[in-house]
Amino acid sequence: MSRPYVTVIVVAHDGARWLGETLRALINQSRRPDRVVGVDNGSRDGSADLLAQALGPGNVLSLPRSTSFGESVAEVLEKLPPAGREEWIWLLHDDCAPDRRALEELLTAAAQDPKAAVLGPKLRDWLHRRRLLELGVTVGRTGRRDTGLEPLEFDQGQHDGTRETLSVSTAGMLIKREVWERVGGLDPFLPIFRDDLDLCWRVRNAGHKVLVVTSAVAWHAEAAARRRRRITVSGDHPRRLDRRNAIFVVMANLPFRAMLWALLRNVLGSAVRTLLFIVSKQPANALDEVLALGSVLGHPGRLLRARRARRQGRRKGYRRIKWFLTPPGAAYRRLVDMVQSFLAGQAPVDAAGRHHIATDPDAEQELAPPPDTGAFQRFIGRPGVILMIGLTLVTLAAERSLLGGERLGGGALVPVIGGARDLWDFYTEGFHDIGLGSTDPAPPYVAVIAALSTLFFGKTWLAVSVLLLGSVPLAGATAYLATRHVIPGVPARAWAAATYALLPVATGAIAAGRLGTAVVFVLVPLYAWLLGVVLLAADRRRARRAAWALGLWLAVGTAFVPLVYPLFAVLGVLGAVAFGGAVRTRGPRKGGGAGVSMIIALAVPPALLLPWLASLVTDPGRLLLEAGLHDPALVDQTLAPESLLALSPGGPGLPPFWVTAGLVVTALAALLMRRQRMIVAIGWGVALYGVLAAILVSRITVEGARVWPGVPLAFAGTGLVVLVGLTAHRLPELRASGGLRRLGAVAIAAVAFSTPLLAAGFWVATGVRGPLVGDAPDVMPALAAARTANGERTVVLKGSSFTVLHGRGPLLGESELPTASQERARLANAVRGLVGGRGGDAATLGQLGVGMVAVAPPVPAELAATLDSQPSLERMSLSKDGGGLWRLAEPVTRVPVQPVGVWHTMWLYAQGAMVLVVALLAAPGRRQEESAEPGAVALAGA
Amino acid sequence: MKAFIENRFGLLTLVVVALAAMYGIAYVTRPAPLPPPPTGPTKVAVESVTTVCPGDKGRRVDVYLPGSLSSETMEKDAPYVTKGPGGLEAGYVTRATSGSARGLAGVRCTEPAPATWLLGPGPADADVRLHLINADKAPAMVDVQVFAAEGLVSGDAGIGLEIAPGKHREIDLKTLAPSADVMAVSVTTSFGRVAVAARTVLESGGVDWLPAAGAPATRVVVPGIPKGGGLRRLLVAAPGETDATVQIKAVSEDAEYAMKGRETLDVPAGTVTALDITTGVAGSSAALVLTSPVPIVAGAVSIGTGSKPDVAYTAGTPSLALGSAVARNTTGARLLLTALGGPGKVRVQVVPDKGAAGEPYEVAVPAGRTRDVRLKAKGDFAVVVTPVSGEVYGARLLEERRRDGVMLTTQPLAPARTWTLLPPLQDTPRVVLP
Repeated sequence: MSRPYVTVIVVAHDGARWLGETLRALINQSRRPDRVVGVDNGSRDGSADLLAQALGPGNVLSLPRSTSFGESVAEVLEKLPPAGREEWIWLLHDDCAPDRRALEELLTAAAQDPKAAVLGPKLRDWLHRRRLLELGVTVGRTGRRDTGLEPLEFDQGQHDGTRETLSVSTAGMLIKREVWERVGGLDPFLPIFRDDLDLCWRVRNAGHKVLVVTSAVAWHAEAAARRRRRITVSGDHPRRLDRRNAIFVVMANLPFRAMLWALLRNVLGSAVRTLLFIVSKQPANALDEVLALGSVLGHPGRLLRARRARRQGRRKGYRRIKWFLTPPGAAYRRLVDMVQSFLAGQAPVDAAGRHHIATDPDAEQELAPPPDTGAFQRFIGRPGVILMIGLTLVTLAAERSLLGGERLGGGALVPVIGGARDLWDFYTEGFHDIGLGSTDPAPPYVAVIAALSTLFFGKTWLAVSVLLLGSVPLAGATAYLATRHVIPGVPARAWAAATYALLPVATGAIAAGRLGTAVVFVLVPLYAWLLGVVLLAADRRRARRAAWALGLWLAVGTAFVPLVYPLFAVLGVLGAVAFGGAVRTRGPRKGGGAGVSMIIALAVPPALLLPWLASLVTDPGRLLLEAGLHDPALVDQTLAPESLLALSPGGPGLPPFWVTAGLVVTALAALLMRRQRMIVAIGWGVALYGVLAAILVSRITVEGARVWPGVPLAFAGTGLVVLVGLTAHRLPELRASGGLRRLGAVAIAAVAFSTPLLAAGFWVATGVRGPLVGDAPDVMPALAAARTANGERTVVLKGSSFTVLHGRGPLLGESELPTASQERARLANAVRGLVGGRGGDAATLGQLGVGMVAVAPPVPAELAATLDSQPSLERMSLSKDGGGLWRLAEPVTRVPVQPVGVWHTMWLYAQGAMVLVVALLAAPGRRQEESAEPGAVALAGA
Repeated sequence: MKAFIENRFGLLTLVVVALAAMYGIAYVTRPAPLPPPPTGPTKVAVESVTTVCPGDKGRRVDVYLPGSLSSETMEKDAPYVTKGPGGLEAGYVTRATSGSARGLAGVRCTEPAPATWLLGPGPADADVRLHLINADKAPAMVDVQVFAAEGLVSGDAGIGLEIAPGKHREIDLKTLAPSADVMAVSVTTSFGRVAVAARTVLESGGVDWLPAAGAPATRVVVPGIPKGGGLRRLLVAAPGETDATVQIKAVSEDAEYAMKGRETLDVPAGTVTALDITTGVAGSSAALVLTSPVPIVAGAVSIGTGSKPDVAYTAGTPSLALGSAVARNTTGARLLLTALGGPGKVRVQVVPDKGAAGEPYEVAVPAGRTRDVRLKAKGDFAVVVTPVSGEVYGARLLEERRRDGVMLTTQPLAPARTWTLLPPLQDTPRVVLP
């Protein structure tokens, strides 16, 4: 066997930074090449001189700047006559320095396998010399490049062994000249990226083998892919080029049926990726993705020509090549990884997969795993988790009467029925076919619950149960997380979270079924934290993002309890005025930042809730109400002053008012400290503001009952809890000083902890006896529901009240819609007449669309007799436990569908778009991570 | 100022003062408990009225609508049904000067109702014909029960009578209770409603329709016992399960008193007891006030003097609080008005069938007295009584003195159909709460 003839072609393009080392490595090869030719593609950094010095001026070819790698090689081969015997071409990039024995190893491998036509070395990183870049590359059917390596994997020989692969990089590629010429060399349409893949694919289709030879090593800087130098062969962004070429190569080389399938996957995958890019605030990536696919699909002729050129042996070759493509399951694994990393707070689209983009290595090294004690144990052992478990246990014990029931309801909460779909329908429809019909906008909190229900697999009851019954642990969690960067000591944080979560407002809200207050109670710590970020964050972008988030969450809270907005607005404006001024004088941020952020935060809720808020403003009393029903029985009509000062809002489910005395006393004691007077003053300011608001609000009568001051008292409680938590680190100091002070510190700690412990104790001891029950009966008789076929309404009588239902009980929010008042008055009159035994009312009911009259148990005998005697009523059922049901013998008119304003749908779209935009502006995005880039550049330049 | 802020107790003082101020504000503004919402029934205007009279071919029915009186002649023997707006009253009076049915008999067209009580002489003493009329669009299932002095005597024969829509049924009560000499008839429906009327022809002479008695109550006022001689009988039924001990008080033209020897009346449960009160009221026009710990229904029978006596019935009636009207009156009509508790005053207006309505005039009734007011109009007319003050009960008496005996009929002033009392009902979604 004769010694093969080796021609080395070094292509340089603005690569002086690496070229010197590359050439040195070439010269020092243990197996000397027979010919070396340098090509310089119009370099402007003296690469041509370097080549000339090393190889001799006669061996250097100068080509224009826009010449691609493939064209350069083709040009050289055109000029070089064949060697006559078996000739190999070794392609080298200017940024690819081969190991001393690389060529020798490659040739050895080639000699061992006569079918091998293309061989590639193991590529390692130029800077981090032991980091693996490639050991042969394969591709997925969507064009995704796959090296089979973890990002940043070190070479410890773990992948060693000469083996077949789909393709190898052109950097360091050793190829038979004969084969090169037969398959036509690198495709000029692919000036950069994936040209190697295309070449190897064609080589394989021609019946040859592609090998990666791991004993041959080369160090590659990937200068073009990492944008260390300008790409001049094309004006497009490398990312778009890469993507376009990837799709093109896969499309061109797959046999027809596989190609169709891959096309479908590519279109769908591109759409998803574009969406994810948009969501993760990478609009440039999204654009590239769309343009890349568009560029391939937009030129079917080009693709057809390419396919025709590759027709030879494609189908036959595919049978072997199939095994080298990325298996389909990998895509799903990647998706799972991506979701996990997104949950861990990273941008949802991984940027890896093209070429490994260097990430800041220091950041990686910081994350060196601690001694592994098991993820579960680590999770369980965190104080926050322990606190949450404790609060959850307390909650479960206290809510024992509510758990396991069939239907949660009572107090302010209408029994929860229906699923997410029903709620969405209710929210989006313009005309609500409930009661006597209504075109009023559905309250926006319905959309929040609907969205949450969708997350809970459409189970509205689950969403409501978690929000309402779980409000105590949830509020504990938000309080604990919100104070993460504020309160230093873990015990103080735990105390603050537990005290806040067990405030009387929370237990009262649960007992009375006040879903609105429960949600806002969970959100208030979030408001406090975001307000702190908006006012105090040094990073302006972070403050702005917090402002958008604050606006969004404030909108959610306002949808449940409108009072939140004015309450918060006063605090926010005061804070912006005070801190905005203070920060400006210190000057770390550009002036006016806090003010603008606060304007953003306060402008978002009205913008998101516009029509509904407008309807509230026309009826200002409702501003003081909250989601759910407004029942006088849920409010202490004559709320005592001492209750208000002790943050006890009155109503069912409250501990004795002195339970919170410990909190108030501790907060008063904090006033005596000489340090941190500002914090204490601000905390007390908030508390007094909340209490004052609670006093004023609780004295106002709306729709026949006083307003429940839960939310203002939650604000007040937040102020007290935060100020005590912030000053708690003084206690260890006091204790350390010994003597009486030590005793005092212990006493203060005991007093402070008395509040959460007493509150939890009382709550568990009494349980939830309140109007909220776990198994609320359905007032709509099943028979009536079954017979509601043509829009008949059912009048449901219970005691001295009635309501009109349509086929089922009301959904969340449905019972709060005001319906046409004139019709309602007529209906009320008719129903009273019916119950009073007056004649002629059944006809009126029929005209209003009522087809049935149901009486909830127990049915009074006189009422049953009266209804029986109504000639237009026909009894359908009457039982002691099931109540009674009568059918109207009169003709029943359908409730007319009222026309819906054209703006309704438009508004819904606008609202959705606004929510999306605000969420995008508020979400932590990729831009934050780009701070790593300069570091990498600096390293690369070093 | 600076010293105050930097003082260790400065902030504390400030906060404590603020808290005290808030306590003060909360204390001062602490509201009085809201008054409970009204729970009593509310007065509501009646929108439409259907009244039904038993048919009598050729008979002229007077129909009163607020402000006008018209009349219509029945063309068939079928029941007469009239529908109209609130305030509709209708009725007719028969007058026979000879024959077995000699006498004056008046009937008030009644509304279909689920329950009706009638008290009067039993089938043993009189020919009692019960008219059940279903004027509605739905069938009615009627139970007729006859209570006599012995208790419930009618058996199953009257139970479950089905009356198709628009049909009527005439029942001779002899078929249900042949031996009862006094009776209380309860007509109840298990579904549907019927209008009920009963005509009695006494074997001893005299004819009249039985007026519907008020629903069982613990206090019953029976107005309209006419003055003059003749038998006066009180009928009291206790429809419940408990025996009733009824306190009886008479309110005559001159006094309000308990009748000697007839202060109380024991009524065994489920029976009708008759009490002769001829001497008790002593020829005065009077009303009877009955109180009982258990609900009772009551009526009275008045028999006129003369060789061919006539009979008149009255029954327990609610007060005139909602006003009343009688559509058919003729010359010689009188009002017997009784004021209880305090002096009462009513406004009386006569609406003749021809010509303009008369000027309304007020009639004062002294406390605890009955007043016999003669209506001066001639011919056929309607009389409207509206309350002004006090608790007033009344009846209308028609009297015609003939040589062979006084002919008379009475009609208690039942509440007009202008207003009705309806239970309070609130339209609220709280109904769906457990």
